[in-house]
Amino acid sequence: MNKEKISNHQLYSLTACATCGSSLLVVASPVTELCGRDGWIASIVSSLFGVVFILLYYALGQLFPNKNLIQIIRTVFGKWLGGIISIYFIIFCIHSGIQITAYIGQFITTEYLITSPVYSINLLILIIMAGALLYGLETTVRSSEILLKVVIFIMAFLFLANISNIKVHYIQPVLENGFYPIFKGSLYITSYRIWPLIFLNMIYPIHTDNSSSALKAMLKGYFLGSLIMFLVMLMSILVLGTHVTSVFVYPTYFLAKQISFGFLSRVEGLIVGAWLITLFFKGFCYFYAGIQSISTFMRLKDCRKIVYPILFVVLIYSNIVYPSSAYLAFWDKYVWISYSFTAGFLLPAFIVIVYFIQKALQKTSRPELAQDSA
Amino acid sequence: MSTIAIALIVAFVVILSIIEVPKMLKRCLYKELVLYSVFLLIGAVTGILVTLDVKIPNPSDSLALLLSPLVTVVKFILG
Amino acid sequence: MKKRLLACFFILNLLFLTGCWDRNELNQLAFSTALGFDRNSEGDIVITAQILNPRAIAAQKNTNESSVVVVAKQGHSILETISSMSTELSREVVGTHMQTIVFGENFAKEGIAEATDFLLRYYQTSSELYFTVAKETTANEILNNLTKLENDPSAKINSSIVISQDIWAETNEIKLTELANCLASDGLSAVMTGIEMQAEKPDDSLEKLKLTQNDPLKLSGNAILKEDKLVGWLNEEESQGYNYIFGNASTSAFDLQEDGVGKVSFNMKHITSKQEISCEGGTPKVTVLLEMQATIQNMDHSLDISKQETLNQLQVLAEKKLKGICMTAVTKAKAVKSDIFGFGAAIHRTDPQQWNTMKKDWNDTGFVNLPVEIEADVTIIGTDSISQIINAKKE
Repeated sequence: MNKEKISNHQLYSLTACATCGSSLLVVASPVTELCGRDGWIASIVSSLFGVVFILLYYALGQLFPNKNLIQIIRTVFGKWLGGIISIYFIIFCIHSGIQITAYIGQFITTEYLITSPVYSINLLILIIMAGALLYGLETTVRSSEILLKVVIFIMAFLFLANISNIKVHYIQPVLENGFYPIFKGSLYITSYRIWPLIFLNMIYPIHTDNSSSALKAMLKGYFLGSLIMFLVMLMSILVLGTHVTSVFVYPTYFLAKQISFGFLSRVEGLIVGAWLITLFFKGFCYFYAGIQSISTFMRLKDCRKIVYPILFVVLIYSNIVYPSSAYLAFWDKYVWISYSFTAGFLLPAFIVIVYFIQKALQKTSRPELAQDSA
Repeated sequence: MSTIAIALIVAFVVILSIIEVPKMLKRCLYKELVLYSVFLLIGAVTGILVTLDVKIPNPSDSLALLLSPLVTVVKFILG
Repeated sequence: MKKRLLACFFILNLLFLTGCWDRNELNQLAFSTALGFDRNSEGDIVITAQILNPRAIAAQKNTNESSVVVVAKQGHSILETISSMSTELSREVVGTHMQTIVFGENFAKEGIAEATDFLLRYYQTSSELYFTVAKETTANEILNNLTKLENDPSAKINSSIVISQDIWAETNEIKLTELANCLASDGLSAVMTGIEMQAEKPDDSLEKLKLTQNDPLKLSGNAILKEDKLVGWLNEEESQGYNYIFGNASTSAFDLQEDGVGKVSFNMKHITSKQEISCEGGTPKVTVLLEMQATIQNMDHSLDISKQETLNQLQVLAEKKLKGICMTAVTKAKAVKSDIFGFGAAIHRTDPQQWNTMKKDWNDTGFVNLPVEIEADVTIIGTDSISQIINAKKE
């Protein structure tokens, strides 16, 4: 477990895939509902805002070299409080993984395989996920390097092929309702794109070799993912218009349906492929973080033994977690923002604050030691 | 349908245990064995209850309850 | 031994991975290329599906079968009606290759929102769906016809709409996304091409096809919708005005007839239009700037068109005629109280505060009282291949 090392380029491609994640297909719709046709501005604002959080996660790794997140929590908060927070983080990872599997199953059964039970699709995805988890981090991250190129190619094709369908007047008037809706939209986007990246802290300091250029790799991956998301948002509004984007459950899928040059039509399957790839890697990151957290928390020697049982539980719960589309709409908007806020913002912020408080207290309680070292 | 599903769940649990448990015992991985059995038991029981159409409590509900003060704040911000 | 067991186990797993639930065999599917919506006297929906007959289209030699099969059913809701067509067909109706939607006039008068909602939700719809309204008839009548030149009648309707909009500017090409945006927006109403039957209804479709007669279907004019209900029609000239204001046509033709000049017809090569909103003391005004480049296509009087003065004179007359055509479209739209030109949306884009005060009842009050001015600028760039009229010396 501790012997796996991934290179910076692999960290970059994993971050890029994980930043895209589920937003490729779903996020354009609620954001357009919240801030109208200025959704693309919200995307830019949240991307710039998110750099702060990437720096925060990087700082966590710098302050505690060669420790993963659970070990950091235990060091800073002690055994009992650290235990509770670790359990909360484990639940966050596994629960988000269950939600991602549920998303995949729901999409396929809405658009393609209407009469299939959701469990059959989820079973397929979880079998592949089990394979990825059992093979380990290195192998999966290498495949992410290749598959990221595929995703970039498909998204570039989607955008270029839709250029002839753009109607510029869909984006006007700009900033009609002021900045507050953009703040709302960027809050929503941040909770999906940036705060979940806390799971990178299970990978970053302990499995990468060169710590300082790891920051560059993470930022590069983050910006690539954000660029793809920004273009998705922009193209959805330019081609489909605000009302249509906010009404569709999967707006990017409908965007892909608009492509038609002569023989080249009905290529929306490509977009589904790109989405499945990015969603798979995000799910892999969640599950890997979850399983590593459990094995670090319980001090297991072999983390691979618990993969099958946990994924079994995930399969069973995948159809329970979102009982209806109304529940999904409520949970994804209100509860998820709070949930990822606690795990992605409060948690690292508190760790850093408490660490500095502890250090300051140490210095004041032992002034003679400080004098000796000085 | 439900009997097939229950049979599949039981078959999965049994086959997995036959393959994995001896390996774990040989390497004295007792903590892993405990976690393994706990999760497998949770999965099997929940799975059988789902096939029998018993309503399983949704973990998202408990999380929403836990986070309800923050949810109120978010509701206020988002309008 | 263990490995053999494991191999058997994995092969057995393939049973679960091949997707048995949603298999669709090709010979169990009926591909519908056109769908017609009507309402009958009891208020039920009547749906007519035009289904491709693969035996007739793919046959090497000519069969005596028609290339499409038409099925009509009535019911309370759309999906229920389409599913009940399985009692008449041996296959399941599949909408993935749907190209045309025809709304009957009665159906359109009561509102197409339900049908559009169905099409947006239905997972099989493609976005290449063209919308038309049947004029003075039902969609059932329209879809019960075969066409010449194309095996597939809906392909013929679609290409007719596209080509006609491009070179003659009488039809309007509207697809699913545009229609959805028009229905959702306050400042723009939808306009759809109208189809009507030619005077004579053929009694034996296949027999009539064998003679070189006209197609029974003809695209004529455009239907004006307000919100989602049909409120009026644009005739040929008004449709051209509408398309000129939008700049939808790339070429077109029109002629003018004056006493001193005779009949001159123009071939318009390049049409651009721009809508400008100007606010004067709280009331907005729309100016549509049309720019057109034309060549003289036809003359019957001998005019000296090598002189610039003659050309200028013809330009002024052409501009007048063009303004007249466009104003008829605007007058018709105001008469039926429906903003089909998107002037409301244009006001929204340029001046959102002004729009907020005007957007209530925009179609009924704001649009009707909106002063619209059309400024046309025609430049005659040439006289095509010959310079003077051929029988000039004789006069």
